[in-house]
Amino acid sequence: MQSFDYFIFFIFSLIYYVQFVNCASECINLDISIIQKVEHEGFRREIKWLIETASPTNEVWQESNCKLCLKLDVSNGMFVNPDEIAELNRTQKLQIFLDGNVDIEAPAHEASEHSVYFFLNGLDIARLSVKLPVHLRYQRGQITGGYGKVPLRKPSLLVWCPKHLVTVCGRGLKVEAPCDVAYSQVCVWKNHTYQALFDDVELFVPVGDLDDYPLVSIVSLLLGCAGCVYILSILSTTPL
Amino acid sequence: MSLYDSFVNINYKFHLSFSLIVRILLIIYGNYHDSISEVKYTDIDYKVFTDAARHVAFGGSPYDRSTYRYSPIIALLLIPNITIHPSYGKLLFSLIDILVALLIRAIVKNSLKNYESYSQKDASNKNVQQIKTETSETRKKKKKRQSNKQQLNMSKRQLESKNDVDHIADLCMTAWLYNPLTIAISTRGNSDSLAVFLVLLTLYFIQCKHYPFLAGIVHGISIHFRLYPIIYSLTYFMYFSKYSFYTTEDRRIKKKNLNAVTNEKVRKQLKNVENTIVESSSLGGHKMMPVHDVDEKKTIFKLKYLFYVIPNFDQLKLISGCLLSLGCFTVMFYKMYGYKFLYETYIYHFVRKDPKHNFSLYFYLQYLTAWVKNIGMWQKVLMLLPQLVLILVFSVRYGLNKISLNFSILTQTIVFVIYNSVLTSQYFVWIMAVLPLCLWQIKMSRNSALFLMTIWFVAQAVWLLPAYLLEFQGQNTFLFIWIQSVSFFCANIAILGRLITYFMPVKGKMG
Repeated sequence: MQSFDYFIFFIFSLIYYVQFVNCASECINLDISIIQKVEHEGFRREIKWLIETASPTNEVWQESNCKLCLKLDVSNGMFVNPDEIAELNRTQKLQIFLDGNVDIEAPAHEASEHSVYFFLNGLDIARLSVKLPVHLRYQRGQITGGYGKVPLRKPSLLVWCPKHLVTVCGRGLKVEAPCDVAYSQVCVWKNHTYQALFDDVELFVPVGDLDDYPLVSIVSLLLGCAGCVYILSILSTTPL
Repeated sequence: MSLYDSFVNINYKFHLSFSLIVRILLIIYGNYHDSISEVKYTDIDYKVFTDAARHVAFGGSPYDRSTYRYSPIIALLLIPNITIHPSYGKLLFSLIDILVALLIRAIVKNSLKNYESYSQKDASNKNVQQIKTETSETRKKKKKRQSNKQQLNMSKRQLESKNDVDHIADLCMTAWLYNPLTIAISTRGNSDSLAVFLVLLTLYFIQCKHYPFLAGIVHGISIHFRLYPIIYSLTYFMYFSKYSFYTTEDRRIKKKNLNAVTNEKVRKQLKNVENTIVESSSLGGHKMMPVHDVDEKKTIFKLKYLFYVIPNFDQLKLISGCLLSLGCFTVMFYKMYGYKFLYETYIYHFVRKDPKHNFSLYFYLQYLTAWVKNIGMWQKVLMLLPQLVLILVFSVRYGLNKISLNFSILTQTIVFVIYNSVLTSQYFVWIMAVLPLCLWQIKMSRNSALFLMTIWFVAQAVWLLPAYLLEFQGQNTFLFIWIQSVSFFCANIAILGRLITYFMPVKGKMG
């Protein structure tokens, strides 16, 4: 009887091994590298990401029904225009979700941060290129003028798999984020590490020079008044 | 027949059809250009209108679209952008361009005819005939003056013919139709042609139809639509004043004749005769005023102007029409869209802080002080006061003269635009719509006009270079943009000064 008990225990142990331990070894090894490039100068920029996946293949990935999302935390020195994003979603069938209130007219020091979720569903992850238009905000004038710095943060790569049997290998922080572009519900994503083939970037914004203030205020205001006096003098010497 | 004559003799309907075709072709090109180029032909505001129309079409508020700061009327009008075709709005604005051209033609024709009828009254004025000269020297001068007068009457007779009036009106109309700026504005999808249409419609009802109440209604809609026509209110009010008048003589000829006559007595007589004014009655008729009522003293403000603000029946009709339409639209849209409508359509334009670079003289000053706390009220006052003074002076000075009503609107628009704290290219269309109304009155040589136009375009073009370097190359060119803004302001003031100097309510061949 005791040997039968051992037998039962052995069988359950085997089942446990097959179901959990063995499956863990079948996790998807997601090996992604990202190249980031910022195009254009001036206040309107475009961030381009080239995403390359060494493994798994696109077929395997599509079968897994896992989702991939690129999340960018946008600092207060720049913004992503919600209306521009809405148009991109509509016309180019992109899936970009903007989280947070964006005041597109606020200067940098009065603006708040927001996040952009770029859903990469249904795309060929083997080699994928996406771009996001961003705008730099005006910054408060400063003494000596020059340029203000706006840090461009690295994007986070979020992964979410629907089945318990399929997982992505490796550890990662859990992140709560929208499941899809419609923000139908919140999913717990895994922040997956990727190989960043780019350096941290700082963008430069021209800033007004407060040293110019005395000159600018005196000339602007006096000229406005002088223009008025000039026109009045013409009126007074020109009979109607 | 010269090329100019051939152009003048073309039927105005051809101009209308041809310019509409040009606009339609440009709309088609714009769509193609947008599909291949990163620098879009379509105005950014057109996207705003379309997005707002989309919100309205799906039962929402146009103010759900950020930066929609216009009347809900635009969003409502452009719903077919969503339901029919995205270029519908551009076509609508182009058609409105054509209506604006027709209004310009009608108003200019009416002004010319009005001027003609009242200058003829002056010609028959007995006072002119009664002037006696005593010395042989003054007799010669008189002959010279009479010959001048005959010349003037000759030109009047020439212009009396229907053809000449039509030609001038057609030329003024083509100045709008073939203006590259206005073509670009409407085909890029900017709504300002609609705003100027309402302004011109107000002028049409005032001058051509003499309907103060209807003019008030349209003026109210106009203010609701774009807010800036509020500056014309005092001018319209003055036009209907019983003190308003027609000048009956060309002041240049007056000056010439005065110089020709040395005798003090004769000069005095002439001076009074040629400034004879007619007082208008509330019913639209006019009576000659006694010559001694004419005050020749050159002054900007007189205490008696304060009496002008006591309204008569026509003025009351104008005010009530304006308040009625403005009030109705405001209440209606407030009920529909709440406080956000009030804020975005009206309040925002008074409290806006837009430190981004633009043509305005004050842009850099505003940017540097935008978020600095210790800036006194004096700065705001000094920015506002010059334009307020000029608009007030123009309202009274030119508003009271019925022949110079259009010129009053033109000068006020120029002042408002060049002194505005935010100035972009689209604002120039406000000027471009009113300028053709006064072209026949601005007696400037062709070379002077070309010179001023060149200055204006060059001043704008040189501004664009540092602005491009800032906007697209990220270079710190704020100071250079400001310097160009200063020079552009100076150019504008100089042009305004020239216009005033060359303005005279007498007709003649343009240019």
